[in-house]
Amino acid sequence: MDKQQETINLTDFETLFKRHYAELCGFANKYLEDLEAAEEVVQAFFVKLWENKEKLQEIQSVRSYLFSSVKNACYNQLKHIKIREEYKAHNQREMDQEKNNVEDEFAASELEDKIRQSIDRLPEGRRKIFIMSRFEGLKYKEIAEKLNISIKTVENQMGSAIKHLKTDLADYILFLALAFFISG
Amino acid sequence: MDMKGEIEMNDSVLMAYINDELSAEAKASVDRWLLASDQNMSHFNQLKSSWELTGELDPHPVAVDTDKAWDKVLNQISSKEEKVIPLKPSGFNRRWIGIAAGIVILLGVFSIFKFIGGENPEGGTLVSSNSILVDTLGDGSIISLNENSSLAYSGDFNDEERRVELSGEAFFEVERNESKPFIVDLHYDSYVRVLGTSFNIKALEGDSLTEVSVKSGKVEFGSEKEKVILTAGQAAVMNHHTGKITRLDDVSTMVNLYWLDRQLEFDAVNLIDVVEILNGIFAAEVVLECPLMADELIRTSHDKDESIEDVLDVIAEVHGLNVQKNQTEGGDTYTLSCDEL
Repeated sequence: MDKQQETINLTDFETLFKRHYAELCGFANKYLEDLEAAEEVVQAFFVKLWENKEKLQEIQSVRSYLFSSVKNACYNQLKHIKIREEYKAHNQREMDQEKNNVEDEFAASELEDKIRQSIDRLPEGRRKIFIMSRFEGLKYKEIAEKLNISIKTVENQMGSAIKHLKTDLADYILFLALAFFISG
Repeated sequence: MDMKGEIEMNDSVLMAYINDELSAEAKASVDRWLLASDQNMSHFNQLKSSWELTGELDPHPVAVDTDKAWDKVLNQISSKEEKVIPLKPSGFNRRWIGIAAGIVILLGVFSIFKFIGGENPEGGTLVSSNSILVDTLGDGSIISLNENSSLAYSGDFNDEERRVELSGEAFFEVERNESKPFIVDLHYDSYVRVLGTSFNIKALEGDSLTEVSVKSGKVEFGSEKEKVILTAGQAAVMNHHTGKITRLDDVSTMVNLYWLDRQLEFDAVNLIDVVEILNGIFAAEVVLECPLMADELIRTSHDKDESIEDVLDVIAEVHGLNVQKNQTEGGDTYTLSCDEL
């Protein structure tokens, strides 16, 4: 969205969507603690964004814009839910702080971006298993039961997933190893 | 590595080792393997670093289907863009439109005298403004132009092919002539090519989608990139930005033709699809709050310009549903519900 200021076309919009969708859902999920609701909020936001696509031309950091907009949408969503008051009291201080450094908060490192994209590129089933293990802390047995597959399948899928990630992140890992070697 | 009783080493086993998913025996086996060579250890460390790096992500990745989500969003974008099209003159009650259309058709008959289709060597243009315009071309094909649309035809209309150019929306009833294909040129290098059939084209300036719905016969709908063959009851939409043509479900065909014939005929259509069709046609919103009945087959036909209320009352009565009307700022909402079992 830099350089020439032109209204975004559908192809670029699709790219923008696909690039940030999973991450924004994870972000919305943090607030809503309901993945389905999080997906709905993010999708509705993108539909609205397309209607106001002219706005995108004026935005400096698209990434920050996406995240702060989705956050607002989540707060709005929470307003409709009973827990709003409770939630607000809980997070008032956090919200105040966030207002001050929206830019910093949403700035993703190159590495983080790369890891996310690597995970996004995993085949759907494998990605699901990996996320359940890595981020939901489930044991292989639990995953196998939930997805109605064998523990062996979970093990193999996890092996393929980590192999894929290792390949994608090889440069960074080498860099980290060197940094460690030097400092050590 | 061929020690007796050792398990076969691979990334899956190493990953399970990191995750503490191995038996004590297998674990010991991995430990021995790691110590066997620096190469083994380094390979393991790379896997472990990759695993640890992913754990630092905040927010945590979630398992979502991005492609599926995009389809949903695209659908909503498309249907919203379609709704921008003014199917009715604002400020008029729908019931009036039928009468107005009748008058327009009469006017259209008169305008045939002014419009001498294929015999005009210069070609010509049909233009509609605030009403539907019906006209007959030199070859006998009947064109119904929706509001604010235009159709241009070339001077050599009757030579080898029948070529016209459409901007806006029109319904075509093309006179069959196998030796002279009828071709409609549309924006963005797309076209529709037929021999003899009836179909609807919606190609509005400023709209990123061009939609073709076929009522009878067979048409070829093509862009620079691809082409599809559509038969009766089928519809497809081309996206100008990508040149891609996507087939639509049957639901769209009835919605797309409603502007002209105002006919609602459901012949074994799922209730959930009926609701979608009604939402596509009427300004009011219909909500189905009875998942059990979603697949119920609806068979009803409705007179021209029956109101949404009439239509829903009939369906509700036949299928034992309750209709509740709510008036809100955004417009009327009708909720179809059923008694709990």
